[in-house]
Amino acid sequence: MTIAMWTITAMVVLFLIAPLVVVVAVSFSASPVFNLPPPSWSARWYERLWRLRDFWPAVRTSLEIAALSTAISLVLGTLCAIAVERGRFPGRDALVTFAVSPLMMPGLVVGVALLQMLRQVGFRDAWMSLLIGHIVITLPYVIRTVLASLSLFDFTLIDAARTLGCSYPKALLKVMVPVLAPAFLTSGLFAFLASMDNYPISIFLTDARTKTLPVQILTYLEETPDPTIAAISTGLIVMTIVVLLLADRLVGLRRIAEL
Amino acid sequence: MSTLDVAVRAPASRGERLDPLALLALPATAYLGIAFAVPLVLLLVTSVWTPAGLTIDGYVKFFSDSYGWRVMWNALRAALWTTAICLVIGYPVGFALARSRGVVQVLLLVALILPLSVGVVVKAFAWTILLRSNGVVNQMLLATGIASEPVRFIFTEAGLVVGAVNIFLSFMVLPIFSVVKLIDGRLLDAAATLGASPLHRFLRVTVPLSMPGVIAGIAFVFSMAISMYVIPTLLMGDRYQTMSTLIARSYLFMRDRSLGSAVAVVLLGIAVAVVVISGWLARRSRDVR
Amino acid sequence: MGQGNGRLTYLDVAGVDKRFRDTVVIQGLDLRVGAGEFVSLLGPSGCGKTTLLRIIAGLLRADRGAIHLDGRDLTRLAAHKRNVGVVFQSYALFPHLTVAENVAFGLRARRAPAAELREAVARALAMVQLTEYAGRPIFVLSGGQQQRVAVARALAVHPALLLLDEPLSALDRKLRETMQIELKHLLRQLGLTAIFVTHDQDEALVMSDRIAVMNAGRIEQFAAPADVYNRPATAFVLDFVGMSSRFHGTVRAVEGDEVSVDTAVGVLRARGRPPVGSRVLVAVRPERLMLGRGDGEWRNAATLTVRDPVFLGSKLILHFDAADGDRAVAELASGTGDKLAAGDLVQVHWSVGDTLIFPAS
Repeated sequence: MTIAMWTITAMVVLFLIAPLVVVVAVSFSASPVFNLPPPSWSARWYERLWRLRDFWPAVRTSLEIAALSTAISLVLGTLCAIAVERGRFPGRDALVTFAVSPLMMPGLVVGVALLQMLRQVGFRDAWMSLLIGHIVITLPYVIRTVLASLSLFDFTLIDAARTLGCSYPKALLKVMVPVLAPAFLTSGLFAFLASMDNYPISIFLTDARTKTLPVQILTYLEETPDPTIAAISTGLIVMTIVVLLLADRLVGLRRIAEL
Repeated sequence: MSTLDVAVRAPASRGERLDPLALLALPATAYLGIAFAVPLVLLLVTSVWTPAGLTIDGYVKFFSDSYGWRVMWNALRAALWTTAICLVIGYPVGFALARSRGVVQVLLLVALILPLSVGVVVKAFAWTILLRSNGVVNQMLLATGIASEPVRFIFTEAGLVVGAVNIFLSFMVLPIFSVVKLIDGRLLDAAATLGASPLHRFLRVTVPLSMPGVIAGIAFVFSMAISMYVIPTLLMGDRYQTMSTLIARSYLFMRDRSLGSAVAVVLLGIAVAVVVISGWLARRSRDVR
Repeated sequence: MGQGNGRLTYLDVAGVDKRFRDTVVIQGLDLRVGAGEFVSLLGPSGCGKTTLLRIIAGLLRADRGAIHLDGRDLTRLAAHKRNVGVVFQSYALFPHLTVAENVAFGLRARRAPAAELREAVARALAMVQLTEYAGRPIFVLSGGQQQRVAVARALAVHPALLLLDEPLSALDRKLRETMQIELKHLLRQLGLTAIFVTHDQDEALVMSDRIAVMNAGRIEQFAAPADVYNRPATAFVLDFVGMSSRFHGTVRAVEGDEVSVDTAVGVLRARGRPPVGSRVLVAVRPERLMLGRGDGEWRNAATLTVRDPVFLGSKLILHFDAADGDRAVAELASGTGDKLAAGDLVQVHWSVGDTLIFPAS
């Protein structure tokens, strides 16, 4: 049984890593069709990506939306988690269920619903719409993770800081913020990546001028399927690896897996 | 326990004024209320309310037509297959991850977390390459002699499920891992001293104790698979419709809001059902413990 | 009660009330502590001792009453302005900081100059013999070492008063006993006034100059350890501190300053003036019981059946059969009663002067 378990595990590792390897390999192919192994290697798709002006505004929009929605979620989510963990008011369990429920709801439905409402009130700014929609999916990540961390936080530490000469707000800043830093970091990271990757909500909220990267990628794939997409995907993979390496240095992989 | 603990842990008694800390939850709650709950309620309303008045046209259109049923069945079938396969291969991997130590564990974690973080769009795109008739999968099948001629994967349901399993597998493995690693190894030793065979120990001790992780994994994978959009769009093309693609088409191309909102409400109902049922099952498996 | 210790009052807690919602936790509590005194708050869980400590520290606000420290009115002062050091039960060490950074925390909050800060941290760490651990993270330390860091952190800021909330309860017994002596020695050297919360009577007896025995939000007795043990002010104190034999009975007669009481083991005499016919509890500490038939001053005697002899090395504890609600126990130097076995009938006696009497509750 043990042998079977490890055999399956080894195959699963290959299975999971294969798509990423394929994307990177294709991005360095000289051929415009997706042949593997490529007939010869080149960096032409990266050059093309550099010359293509379509992608850069989308990259920029995606980064802006992801960074901003993550930052806003960190603030709102942390406040909410503190209220739930420390407050004594009825309906706290229901509140948590509600707050993390966007993670379990079909993104497309959330997007459609938001689109409809924004149209009804006459709101048409695509960039702001995207931000509003993305916070809906980044906020639950923060609430869930910070709440889990906060339930393990020893509030005597705040008392200790106060008896040592810190006022209450200063004690929060000097003790709670650094102790919860790993939770902020991991939840922020996953919120950021979720926003960068989101398609189902964005598809309804973009317009011709304001597109997020996933929307742009899918549009491009429909028009001209060539390894340029592999090149930009490789870029995304590299970004992810860098972010994860950073998180591993600061938090550790095992804690990330808890989420 | 000190008196303070007793006092702080005491539940709010009825009629007492609200704890001021509750105010901290207000911004997030209000935000999700306005940007998440209200739109969903409005969606529910538009699905039965058109400028012409109260109607269930959308639902009638969806359910009276064999096409509607086929679309729903498509989505359900793909989601069920995906969930089942994820469970079968994810369960042993969750165990392996919990058992592993040191470098092996780090390697496994990287293999699970990196693809998870890379996102759906890139991976779905990768599978369009992998599944081509001259793609890697076919080359491997031909080279190993499993197939004598290229098998068509792209634009088939088998290909769709393979891609979906690949993309959602981490969401099955990680919850199982986080539960299994907490199982006290001494319980199995205790069972062994009581005369339980390895199979018996596995079925009677390990499996029941891992249920909360399994339930969470199934709920995650199923709810994502039933509503997946990017993966079928890239791996199946236009001719194959799932509920998500039908919603998108109704809104973006057909401009048929009543149909789109009806399908959206049905999909939302399924998602809510998954949350409710999995929550109920999770509570039950906890109580059994 | 025993306030006149010959010292000036340094900490003055006067008329403090505290309730959480409908539960009264502390009621009309007074406590006066002299400068340099080591006072224990001893009592069972839920007696309000930790609440009192938190009120003195400023972490809780009393509903009524006043607190003065060295003439300063602390009643409305925020915790961070009181200069009162606290060692917490869980130690509450900051997990994100090293040992030295933990100790420096209070000094940083006070914006101490760098040179002074370094020196103070080094001095505090030397005091608890942790100098070589300065750069370590907290989680690599053992429980005893963490406890010492917590003490060093509280002492580094030169607090006007040190509060310790069951600081040794998480340590194993051997280490706890060593730390009791070390801590007491350290605080005495520094001449610091300290209030020590504990539910462990032995700890309170070993460490304190005076013990305040608390029950249900009040101080039942505030006195030196020997007085608390030998002259418990109430039946609660008798019960909570040390073992005792106790016999319920009815006062039969009062003769001068003595009473005779009918009990299940016969007539017992004690000094006191409860009215004739009232229900009382007659008690005696186990080491005051002697084997054999006494005479003269040893006018209390009883014949008891041995239930359970317990050998404890240097001493022998004899538990006797007793009536419902009563208890009979004797402590003998080992060697004196070694041949006794369960079921043996034994004569014991003790002096009237050692006999305690309380109104029955």
